[in-house]
Amino acid sequence: MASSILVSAPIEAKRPGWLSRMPWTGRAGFALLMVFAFAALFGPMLTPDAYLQSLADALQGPSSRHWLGTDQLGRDLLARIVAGSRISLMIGLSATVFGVVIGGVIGSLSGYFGGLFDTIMTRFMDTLIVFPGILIALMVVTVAGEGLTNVIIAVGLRAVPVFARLVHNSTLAIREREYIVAARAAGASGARIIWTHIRPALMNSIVVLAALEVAHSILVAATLSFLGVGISPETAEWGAMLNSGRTYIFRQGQLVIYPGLAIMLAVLSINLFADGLRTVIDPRRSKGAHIS
Amino acid sequence: MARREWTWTSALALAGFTALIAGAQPASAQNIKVLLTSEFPTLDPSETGGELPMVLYHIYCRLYSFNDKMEAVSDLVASETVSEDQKTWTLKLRPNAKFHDGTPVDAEAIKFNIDRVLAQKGSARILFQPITDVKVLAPDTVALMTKEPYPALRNNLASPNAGLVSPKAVTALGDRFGVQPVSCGPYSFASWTRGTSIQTSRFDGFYGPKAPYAQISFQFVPDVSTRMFLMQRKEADVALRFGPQEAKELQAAKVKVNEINGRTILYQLNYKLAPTNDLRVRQAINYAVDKEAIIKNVLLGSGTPSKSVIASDTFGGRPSGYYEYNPEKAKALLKEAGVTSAKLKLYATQNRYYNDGLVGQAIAGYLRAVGLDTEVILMGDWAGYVDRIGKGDFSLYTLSWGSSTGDPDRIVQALFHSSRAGQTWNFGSFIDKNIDKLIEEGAATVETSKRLAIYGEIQDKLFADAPWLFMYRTTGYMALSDKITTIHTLEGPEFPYLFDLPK
Repeated sequence: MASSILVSAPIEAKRPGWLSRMPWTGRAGFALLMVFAFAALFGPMLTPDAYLQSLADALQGPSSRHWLGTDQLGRDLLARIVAGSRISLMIGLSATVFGVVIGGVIGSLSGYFGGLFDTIMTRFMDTLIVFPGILIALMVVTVAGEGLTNVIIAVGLRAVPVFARLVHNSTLAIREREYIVAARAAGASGARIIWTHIRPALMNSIVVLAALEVAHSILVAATLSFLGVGISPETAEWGAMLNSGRTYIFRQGQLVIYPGLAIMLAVLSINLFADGLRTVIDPRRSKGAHIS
Repeated sequence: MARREWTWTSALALAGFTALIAGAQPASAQNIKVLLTSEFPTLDPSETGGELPMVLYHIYCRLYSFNDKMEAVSDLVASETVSEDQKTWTLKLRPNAKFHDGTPVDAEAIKFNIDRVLAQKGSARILFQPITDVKVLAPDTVALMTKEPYPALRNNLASPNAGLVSPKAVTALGDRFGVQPVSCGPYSFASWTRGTSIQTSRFDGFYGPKAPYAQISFQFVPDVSTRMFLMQRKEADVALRFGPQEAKELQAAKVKVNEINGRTILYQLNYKLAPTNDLRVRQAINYAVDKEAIIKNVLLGSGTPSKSVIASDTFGGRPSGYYEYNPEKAKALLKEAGVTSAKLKLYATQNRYYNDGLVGQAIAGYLRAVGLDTEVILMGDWAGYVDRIGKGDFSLYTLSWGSSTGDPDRIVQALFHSSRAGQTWNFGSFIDKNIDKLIEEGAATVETSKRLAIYGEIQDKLFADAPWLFMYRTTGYMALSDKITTIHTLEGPEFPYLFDLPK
């Protein structure tokens, strides 16, 4: 699957019109994603303190002071949703970068050099990939303890085999191409060949997959905090908010509806954008992207 | 095509399986399902915590137990004589009592039990500690000696933690006794599925009135919505620890709900670590938190602020004072104590007491408002929580108590005696020699008015020293199905008894 993307043209983000070459769904996704990105970057400056409690104002409906109402401790719901977008996007991006870097290194080394290292790594990655991501993340957080960094590592670890496998398979397909053989004949080292000759050819598929993985990571992180592991339950994180609002679902629906909507829209926007990105990069394979 | 066939087959199999389960378990009024909120590591009676007592008093028999008024009355004891100097208790046992394994509950067994607990470190030790010697006078007569007069002995021996074990089973099972206990209560232990349930069945050889239900299954359901759902679906018969909103919803769904006096919720403060080792900081913490607002908004009204370490329905309990909400005073006290940048670690349970996690967050919010940077750690797993607290790296942690003996001695012993410092439940390492002396005096005083005076003094002194962030006493709610015909709830502990109590 991945290797067929390889032969397409590299992404040319600077050429005017890459956005306009996207289907409207991709552009809609991009627009929505920009809203979340704006909220993540500047939102906390524009909204009240997401952690300021005021028990006298608990569980209020929407008002001019609290646009979306307040939660059980009288904290502003909008402020918490906005603060949550920063945390969710940060976890999503960092975990994906973690997965890309570690997975990329493992995949390219094992794919290029082969041998025993390849066998061991491939088996190891196969083992990792059969576990549902949430299980791996749960295990890591349980062992390593709570905290944002540990959550990022836990979620990122889940993405490692995904990228390792993609890079490994593509490297295998490329390494016997003439230009690689020529480079090798010219005396280039393995590391140099991987970095300067193989990496650029893989970037397109990595970018598309990474976009999807960001969405997936956000979901896994929200699931973790919904289960009450990882991030401190006080944190304005969407999954944690869902968890603490859960018992109020029939009385104060807004406590679960807004964080639920935020998770859904964030994941949807990234998926639509990733799908559009794939269409731009590889028009022949534009059949819809899925989280896998 | 293949997939469709597979779906059909599995649907059929599922239907068959469901029918099988339904057939194997006839819907009988004799089998009762009780929903508890958390599991416990062992059923050994010398352990305590959570809803363990409820399981204990269905399985274990005791020398004394409580009547409906929470007074300690004879149970296994047929008659008692207390010596002139109040230091020797001669107990004559019921002649027909047997353990679940058929061995007799005789004087030797009583001696074995008391010696066993005194040799242990568990929480039950405190109950038996006043006993200095046990003498077997006849197969059915045993004499208990105490160093000082100890009027609360009956109450102590009536505690769920004073359950008697079968010596034969303890010898045979060793450490495994706690997971397959043998005693002489109205129900005998049948099986334990870890993480899911404990099964008990009626013990036909029980010496007291016949137990009303053939089987009781205690199931662990931490999630309150699930407990509610199971009660509404009539898939359970007794469910504990509902909040006021859930009680209202259950009543609307025509489920019977009983209101009960809940436990006292508190936050123990750490005397070993800064800054809570400073009296002014402990007082500041008490002034910083608006208990009434928390009760009104987070507990939705189901509680009353604590005004003493001993609740008013326990012997001697009476208000000592109240730390009203006064953030300015709190800030001033902190300033006086020279605390400018303190990091506090607040531990709270999750889904153990009503809205406990949220209360923990609310408290942290109040503490931050007076300048104490508070980290909140919520834990849903009780055993893990106790383990973590036991390491001592906390500023404050939540705990609850309910009087399981109706007498204050056990409470103050467990929570404030220096011999328990650093252990359950004095993890905060409260040490005060004067309080030790008063505790010992209160325990050994027979005259009621004198005892009351001593416990009054203990309460006043403790209140002033602020060993806790005083919180509230909860009002609890439990739901019952129509199948429940026999149930007794006492004033002190909030767990019901599913059998008839002695008069």
